[in-house]
Amino acid sequence: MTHEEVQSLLDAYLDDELDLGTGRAVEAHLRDCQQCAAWLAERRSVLGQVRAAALRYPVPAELSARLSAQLGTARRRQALHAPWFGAMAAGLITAIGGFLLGHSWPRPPDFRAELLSASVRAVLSAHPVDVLSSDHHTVKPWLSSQLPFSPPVPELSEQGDALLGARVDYLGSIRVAALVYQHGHHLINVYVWPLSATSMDARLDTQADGYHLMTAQAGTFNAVMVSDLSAEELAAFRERWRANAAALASDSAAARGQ
Amino acid sequence: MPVGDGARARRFEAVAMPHLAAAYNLARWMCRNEADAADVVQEAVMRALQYFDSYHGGDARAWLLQIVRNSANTWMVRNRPAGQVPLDGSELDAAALSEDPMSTLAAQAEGESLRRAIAQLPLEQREVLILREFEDLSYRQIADIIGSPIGTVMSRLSRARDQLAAIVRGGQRASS
Repeated sequence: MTHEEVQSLLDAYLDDELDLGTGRAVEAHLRDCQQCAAWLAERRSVLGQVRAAALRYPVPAELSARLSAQLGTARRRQALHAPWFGAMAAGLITAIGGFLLGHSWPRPPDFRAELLSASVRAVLSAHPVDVLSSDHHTVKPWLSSQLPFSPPVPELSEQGDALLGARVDYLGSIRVAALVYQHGHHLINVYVWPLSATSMDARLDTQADGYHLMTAQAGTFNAVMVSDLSAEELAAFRERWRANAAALASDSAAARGQ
Repeated sequence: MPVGDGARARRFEAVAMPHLAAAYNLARWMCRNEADAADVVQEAVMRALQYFDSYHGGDARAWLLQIVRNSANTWMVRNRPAGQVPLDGSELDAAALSEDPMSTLAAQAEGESLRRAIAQLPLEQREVLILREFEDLSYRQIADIIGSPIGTVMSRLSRARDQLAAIVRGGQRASS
């Protein structure tokens, strides 16, 4: 590699953007070329000063407040915008909307929206799990100590799904176990609770904003999986999880039978 | 059956709003003016909410920054025809100076000369520099955001850094 070629690559080298082979070639040149080494040192120092100078502009409080207000409005407006309202005049929406919202028809609780936002929050938060362990012998007792039930905790690391840990979440007033798995770069939240606590339509698979939600039953438990995996990958995960959870359930039934 | 739209807006807040600081900082550096930047961010956030269905997981910050970047460009074309982009003077503002009481005047002065130098870079270099130095985005992510090849990102970034290096070198000569 010529001196000029290396020169044109030094910024990318600094940013760790070169492939391994090219990076090694640049390093070999840097060992011999004082000019390039000095240039790189100066570059590092300048960029260090840029970072140290705290040149970020903070968000004006007025803008944050304006956005919160607008998003709050958007939320309320969207909640009213059921499709059959679309054609109605705005005044009518307000009048009828208030009336309809005051009435609720009996139907099984639909936790999907809640589960999706709980999952998004968990993925975004720095601590998606309360108990950090890849060992189900650690995770399961912890969950049992936190919950009135003892959920199955399948260990699927041999199949490419690493158990990261678990936390306890709320669905409405029900406490549920949330198992967190990692598949590739994606997190999968698996919510588990007993069938007896509340029933849930088993075919509520849905998706929104890049997240897929899939339901399953394992023994006497409901399970809902939420992830930004593709639908096919999440469905495959569901099969692995369900098969393993069913095996765990029959093991524990056999253990009780002895 | 899709989940409720109210939940959609809540999810949008959970996904996008943690990146408001990055969004505003990019807009502020692109517009070089606080009032313009606030308008741009507001417009971008509303646009992002509208197009939230096009967000398929992935890096939410890069997704939002792309919308902010496009909004800033559209906004400037519409409201600030070429040559009329005003520096709002807060490049020199006391308010824009570091609030750390421990930082020395010299360091502040150096920070300010860097701030001015970045503000005076051509827009196409400035946006790449902000995305790289302040947001630590990869060349690939920056290329996606500005809709240009990676080679363009590299050359713009290098030219922007050359300018800053020249400023720092000049400052050192002046103070020695």
